[in-house]
Amino acid sequence: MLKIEDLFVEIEGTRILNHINLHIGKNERHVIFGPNGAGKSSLLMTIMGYPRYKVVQGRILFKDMDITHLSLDERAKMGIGMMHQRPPTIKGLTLMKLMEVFGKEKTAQEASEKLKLNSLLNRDINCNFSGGEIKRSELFQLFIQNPDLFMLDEPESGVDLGNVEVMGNFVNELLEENLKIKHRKRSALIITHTGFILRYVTADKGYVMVNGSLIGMGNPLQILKEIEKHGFDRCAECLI
Amino acid sequence: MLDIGKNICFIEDSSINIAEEHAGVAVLPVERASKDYLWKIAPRDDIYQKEETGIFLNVKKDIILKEPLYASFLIHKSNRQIIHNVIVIESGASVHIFTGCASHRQEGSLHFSTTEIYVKKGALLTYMMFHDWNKNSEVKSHTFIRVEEDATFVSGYLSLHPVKVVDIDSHLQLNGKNATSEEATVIYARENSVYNIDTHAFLNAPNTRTNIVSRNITNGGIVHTEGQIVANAEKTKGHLECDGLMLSNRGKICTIPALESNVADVELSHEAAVGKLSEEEIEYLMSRGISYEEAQSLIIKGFINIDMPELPLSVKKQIKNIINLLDKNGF
Repeated sequence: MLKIEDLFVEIEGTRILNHINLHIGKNERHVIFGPNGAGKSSLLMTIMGYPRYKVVQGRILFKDMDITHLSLDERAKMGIGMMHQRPPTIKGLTLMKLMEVFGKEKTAQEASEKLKLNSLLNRDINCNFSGGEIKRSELFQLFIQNPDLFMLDEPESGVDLGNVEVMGNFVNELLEENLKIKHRKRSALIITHTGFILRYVTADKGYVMVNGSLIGMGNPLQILKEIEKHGFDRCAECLI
Repeated sequence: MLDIGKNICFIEDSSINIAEEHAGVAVLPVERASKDYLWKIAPRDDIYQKEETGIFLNVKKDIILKEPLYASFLIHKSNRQIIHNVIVIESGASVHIFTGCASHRQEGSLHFSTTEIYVKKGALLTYMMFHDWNKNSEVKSHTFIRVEEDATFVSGYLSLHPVKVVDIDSHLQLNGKNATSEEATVIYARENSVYNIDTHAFLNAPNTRTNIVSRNITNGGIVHTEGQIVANAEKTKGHLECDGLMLSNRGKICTIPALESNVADVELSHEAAVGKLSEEEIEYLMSRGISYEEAQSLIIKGFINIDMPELPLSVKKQIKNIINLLDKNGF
């Protein structure tokens, strides 16, 4: 589904990602751990196509097509969807209005009930939303967008424990957990700082990102245990 | 031409003989207004008032009109229109007025108007004004409003089409306790259009509240807005909000908010911001699969779509249609 080959990325001339290689197959869920500022979000922003993130070397393939130079909307239309960590407020544009743009008012009404989002539908997007409301609104938009690759940027941050479960269950639904493995088609790339989300969502492969590089690859739960024991730095060492 | 409860049409200066009274709504020539209202809150020498033409709209006590009254002021053949209107909403009445002003002439035309509005005890008036002039029109519109105890005045001004010059000056007096007002202006200024918008609100009685919002976009035109709130009584609240959006380096937006208090126990605040369309917002919408152009238009439409809960649904729909039409022709 997604293949990243030897990727180097800069923002305004400063290198932020080095030598990234990543291969996510159909129905695979990959998790990236890492300290704040390691470059995890930058990787997602680069895959999504945010123009500030300049690819200086390497390429990104999605569904066997080189998307390195495609625009944000073209990538989204091909099936890449992203849950943003700090999305901007858009005054005057309600979530419901956005659903009308997609022509998905009915589906939206149903999904909003599951995510306890009804009260947010007629508010301006992200305007005075709490941390948890932002997460729910992002997941809701992804549900409507219905991508093949879900990129989730710290889905559990700023959400209280009770709601992490609601959200985890919804993520599972998005990733077709209810279907038999052979019937699942969707893939995910999840960033997590705390690892809480792994209590609810199962993942296949894990990595640690330090200073803009992906280090090692292993069982996500084992990596999480190592991180809990030794912290990110030592863990990065043991993975090398 | 005149259907009370729905439409009031006024072409040129006085081409219609107005004298109607129906179901508690009177529409009469302005000289029929009582001396208690005529030139009481507007200065006698306001603009070029030599002629006494215009309408006196009087909604009687406790009359509640669910559907809006439409008032149109058209310049058809002549090159000028000078109007003096007096609107009196008696106590307990509730009325929505939608005013449209337009010119058919492509040559220069002048429209001068002075409006005196009285919203009496416990009454509600929502007053939407939509301007659709042409690039050679010059407009001066002065409005004077007096709001009594427990009454509410809501006004909206929308001008999205080319015009030569628009000067708007409104003076609002909240004179009775608990009176509230909400005033919004939305302007889309194109090349060679100049707007001067002055809004003044005076909080003269305890517990009065006012909120003034202005959203201005320039695509080459000049917009100059001044908002002023003066508090003369205790436990009053006032807020001014001025947002400007520059679509390019052409044009100019100048915004001056002023707060003045003559007593201690008041809450007055203002916020003002001028800038370009946010790339961050555009990119966020693009990440959902929306094109750059559509994202831009959604954000502009959102910017000028001011939420005014008191407006009836039919008026909200009209505003939406006007904005969509503008979008269709390209921002």
